[in-house]
Amino acid sequence: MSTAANKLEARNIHKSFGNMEVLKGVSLSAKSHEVISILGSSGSGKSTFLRCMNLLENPDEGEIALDGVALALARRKDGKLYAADQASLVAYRTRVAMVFQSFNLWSHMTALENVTKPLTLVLRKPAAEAREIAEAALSQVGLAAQKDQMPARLSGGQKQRVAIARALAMSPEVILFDEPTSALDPELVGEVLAVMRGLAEQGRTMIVVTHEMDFAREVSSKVVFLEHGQIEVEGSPAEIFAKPAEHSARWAEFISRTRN
Amino acid sequence: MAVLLEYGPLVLSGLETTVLLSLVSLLIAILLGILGAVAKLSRHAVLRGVGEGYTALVRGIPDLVLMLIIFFGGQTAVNELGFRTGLWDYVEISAFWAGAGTIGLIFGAYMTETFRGAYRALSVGQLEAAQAVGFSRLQTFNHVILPQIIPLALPSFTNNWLVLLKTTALVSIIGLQDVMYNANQAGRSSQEPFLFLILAFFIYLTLTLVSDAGLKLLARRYGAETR
Repeated sequence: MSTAANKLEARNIHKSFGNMEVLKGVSLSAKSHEVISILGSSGSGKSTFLRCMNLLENPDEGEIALDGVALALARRKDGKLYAADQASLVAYRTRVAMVFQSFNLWSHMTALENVTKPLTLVLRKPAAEAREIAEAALSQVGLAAQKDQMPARLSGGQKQRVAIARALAMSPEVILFDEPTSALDPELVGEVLAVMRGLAEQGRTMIVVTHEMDFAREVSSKVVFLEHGQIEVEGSPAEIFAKPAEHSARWAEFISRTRN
Repeated sequence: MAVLLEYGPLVLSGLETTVLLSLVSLLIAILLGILGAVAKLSRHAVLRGVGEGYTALVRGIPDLVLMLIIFFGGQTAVNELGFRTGLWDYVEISAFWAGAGTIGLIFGAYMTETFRGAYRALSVGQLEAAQAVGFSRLQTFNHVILPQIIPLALPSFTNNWLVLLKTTALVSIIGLQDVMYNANQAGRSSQEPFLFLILAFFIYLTLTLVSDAGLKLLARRYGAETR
């Protein structure tokens, strides 16, 4: 099933909230340096799928593998799958970083501390080294000058760039983005997308849940369209954007809706 | 004036009991408050029920009734249990521990609400971010939850502490020689009850004003850090 070339692979993910089946067996694999955009209307399950990929949501069924090695999962009393042991979950999460829709910076720490904390606490870096890495990450997202600001003093776009720096500093092999621009004012979307384009150009492996059609079309190597908890269309942007109606009526309808 | 000089030291000698009792009660209240909040926020229905029951019970019963029940009833219960099981002989619950236990129990319920409210004001997203970078539960508590809960809980905590401090005056009922008890004694002996009640009045007022100022200073320090 899994080929060694796959960096990150999720197989047959099922997830229900109560009686509502949100994911009906979704599989996705990302090769190294690939940028995958996951599109879909709200309620299609795209964010839930991404959250299952680092176990912020616990799936009912499915497998996750990094570099062809499956993350050990165990079923608990509630019927859902959890990481079998905490150590391998932590190891996995240091390799697969996450950027959230609402930034989720720790509001009592400065921008710099938000980036250094995971380095010192999880990767056990000495303070000086952590600071160096964090400052480099912050300047990569263009925020070297704002490093000592508290999150409340930053704009939404700046907060999201700090959150990206926090992810980058861990030197992850894959970065998951959960609607990274959806909580931003329209005029701030550009600065975050620019940073993400830069990361894609560097060859970062990224999986991005997004509403930004231009980003999906121009930056990603693969686009996945999710509808009612299943993959409706999947392919390279060139393939599936050109003649959408040939792939799926729903996909064509989705494109025409987002164009207006 | 001579009366004041004669009996003043007696009243002041109650200060040690009042302060010590307040601090021990506070410690018990904080511990019970943490346990109560953890129980009420738990995923397990049984634990939530225990937490709910605890706070509902304590908030619904007058402090004095609880204190007398624990002092007299607790005494009987402990000895009855010892007699029935044959595990221990007669024990006497000291007025100090009965008082501290009762006040701790009462204010533990209020602290439960204080801590639970502060925790719920934390954003879920910040906790998810901690999970996503690989923090352990303990690291999340120490580095994300605690530093944010302290400033959130401090105003309500301060309020609880001030009420707790005043509630310790109730222990004079069970014979503990605190400021209130001694003031009452001094007033009776000297036949100047009003004078010594006024003295107690100022002692309590000083204690509350000093601790209020101290906690406000702490709040300002934490406030400055989070803003």
